[in-house]
Amino acid sequence: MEKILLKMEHIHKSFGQAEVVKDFNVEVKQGEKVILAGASGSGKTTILRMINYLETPTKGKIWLDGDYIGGHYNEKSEWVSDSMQDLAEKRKQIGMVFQSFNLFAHLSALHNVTLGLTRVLKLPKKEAIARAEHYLNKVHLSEHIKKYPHQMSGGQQQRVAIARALAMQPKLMLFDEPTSALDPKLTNEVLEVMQELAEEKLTMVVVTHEMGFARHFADRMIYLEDGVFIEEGPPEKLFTHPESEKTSHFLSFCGYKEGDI
Amino acid sequence: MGLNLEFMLSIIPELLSAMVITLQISILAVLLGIMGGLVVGSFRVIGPKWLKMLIQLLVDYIRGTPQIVHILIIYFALPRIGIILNAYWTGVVALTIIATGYEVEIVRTAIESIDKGQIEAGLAIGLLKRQILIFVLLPQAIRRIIPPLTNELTNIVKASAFLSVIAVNELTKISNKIIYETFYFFEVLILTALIYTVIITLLGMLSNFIEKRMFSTNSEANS
Amino acid sequence: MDISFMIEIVPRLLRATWVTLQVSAISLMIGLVFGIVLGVLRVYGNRFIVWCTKGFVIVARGTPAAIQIYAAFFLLPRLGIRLPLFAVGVVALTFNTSGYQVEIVRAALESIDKGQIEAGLAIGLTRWKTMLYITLPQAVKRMMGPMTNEFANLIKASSALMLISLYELTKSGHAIIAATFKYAEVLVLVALFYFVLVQSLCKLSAYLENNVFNFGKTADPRNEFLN
Ligand SMILES: Nc1ncnc2c1ncn2[C@@H]1O[C@H](COP(=O)(O)OP(=O)(O)OP(=O)(O)O)[C@@H](O)[C@H]1O
Ligand SMILES: [Mg+2]
Repeated sequence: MEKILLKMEHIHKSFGQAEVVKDFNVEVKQGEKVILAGASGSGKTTILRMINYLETPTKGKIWLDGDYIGGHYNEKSEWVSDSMQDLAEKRKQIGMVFQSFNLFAHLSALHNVTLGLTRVLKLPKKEAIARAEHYLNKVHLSEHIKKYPHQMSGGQQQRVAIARALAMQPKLMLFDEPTSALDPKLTNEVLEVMQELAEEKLTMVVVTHEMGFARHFADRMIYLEDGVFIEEGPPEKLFTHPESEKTSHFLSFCGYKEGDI
Repeated sequence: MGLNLEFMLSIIPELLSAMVITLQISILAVLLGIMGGLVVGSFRVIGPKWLKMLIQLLVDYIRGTPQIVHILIIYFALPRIGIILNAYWTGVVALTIIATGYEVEIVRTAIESIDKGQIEAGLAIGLLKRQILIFVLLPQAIRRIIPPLTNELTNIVKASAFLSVIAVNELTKISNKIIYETFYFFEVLILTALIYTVIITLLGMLSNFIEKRMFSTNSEANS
Repeated sequence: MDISFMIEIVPRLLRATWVTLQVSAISLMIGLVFGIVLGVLRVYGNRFIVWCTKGFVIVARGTPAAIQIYAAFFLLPRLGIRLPLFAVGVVALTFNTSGYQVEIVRAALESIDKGQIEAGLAIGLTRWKTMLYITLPQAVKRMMGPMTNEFANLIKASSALMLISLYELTKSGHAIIAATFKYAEVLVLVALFYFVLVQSLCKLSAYLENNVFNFGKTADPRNEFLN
């Protein structure tokens, strides 16, 4: 559990005038499960999207398993930005699950998964299908592989999206509020799958408002406010003995809401 | 001013066969145009900046200049560059160019209307820009292209009337010919207008029908 | 290409462009009257009137401009109306543009929030007065962009008046070609003149729609990944 997989160093992000992430630093070890928590608008999505460069940091460097993402240093130690090809090469090592699923609307569940396998990993068709079936089975969807996105429930769609990301066998999985578009029952389907993945030593960075889940799922929790890192630690500690007033205020608010349900 | 019904009946076959020419040329032009539209429209969306600007300039030019002027240009320019075609095919070339100009915009609008999440999902699994275009965007864009394309066919049918200027024997030219031969202009014009109106109204209804069918039974669930 | 010849014919083409502009602008204005009257009837009229306006729109938009122009040219004299060629052109283009303008007016009227009408009725205005004082003034603003665009369309459509030998821009160009056979020079200029006219009107139309009469809408977000 010691190897460091992901580093974000002094990351800033501005949209126009507004700086929405300020000097964010994190190191994620292989196999670690990290939760990003914070109020709406605190910059969680932005941070997650910067990790696979869907959003370009204004300042700072991101490093994944030996390589910088978004560029590299040449022999003369000058920073060179990545080409589209380089970026694609790095992105395929990172799986991403979106809040709004983003399944390819014209493809069946099976082909949503095989597209990346055949076109990015260049697997032969048979092998791609076998692998896709394996991962769809893992998310408990073997019976629905022929269905199109509009024929599936939100929970099923999100599980297909998880299978699509997993099938690329990424080093790191990112989840951006994977359940916030789902009702409680469907939420549980998805959280169960994520819990099962956690047991397989997959490295995961997760944004979620499901604090009950976060508490027993994560190794570490990071709390943000207005784009600024506030504190981190095992979730248990943040829930019971937070160092910052802000954290305790936010988590007690969430905890209260959850206890209510 | 009574209508000469007997005369009207007698010219119907000639007008209908001219209508077939009008439809042939128009459909050919729209189909050839969509191939151009898909290729050029794709470059318009993902090409390098200079190419995008060049394409937009050409599209603006085609859409911003009268169709008769394009037809005249093609009519004079083709022989000059060594392409000798008969009137029919000159007409097809001219209308294809006009159709392409409009269809590039149709393709572009269709691609740009696709949910951004589709592109992000493609990027996230490591697809390249052109792979996203081919495997994600175009397959979804096609269904959005079909209704406006049917609509574009009505525009091209109307534009095809100008081919009378270069002596293509389409509906307007034939109707004009009959008028000059017989001077029964009232009868001829009523029939011609009727045929055009029916074709264009039917195509408009088809376009609406396709649009309703495609977007109600198969609503896309990209939230 | 013969540049000095091109310079030589510019004044002649400019005069023809003036004819093009006049015939288009006059048709646009007369068309506006028909467009508003028929558009209002199309939205507020009884079943029979709505049916008639629909029929008019179908014919005006369902026949090529070429046929409309021939119809005006042949039929007006037959009805005992002898007009100069220019006026025949205006009649044909007015018929053509009215069909489109009815739809512009209708779309603008129907885009006005129902609450506006209810508020008008609630303060005791009649249906027609609500239309006249509340709906129409708001709709007029929304029509400005599309109407500018329609002007551009009319300029393009007016080129078909060459079919009846009205010396607008296209016909003048055509006549010069017939006399000199220098079609490349002539057509480049003709196309350029149209392009500049139409393009400036389209830009104006987009500007009116997005900046002046935008009612708080923001421009549609472009997709940053593809740029
Ligand atoms: N493309 C953008 N352009 C401008 N501002 C943006 C953009 N994306 C995000 N922001 C702003 O950045 C801030 C952080 O947004 P972000 O989506 O990262 O928050 P979040 O923590 O994920 O919130 P939520 O819990 O609501 O998803 C917000 O104030 C948001 O308005
Ligand atoms: Mg978010």
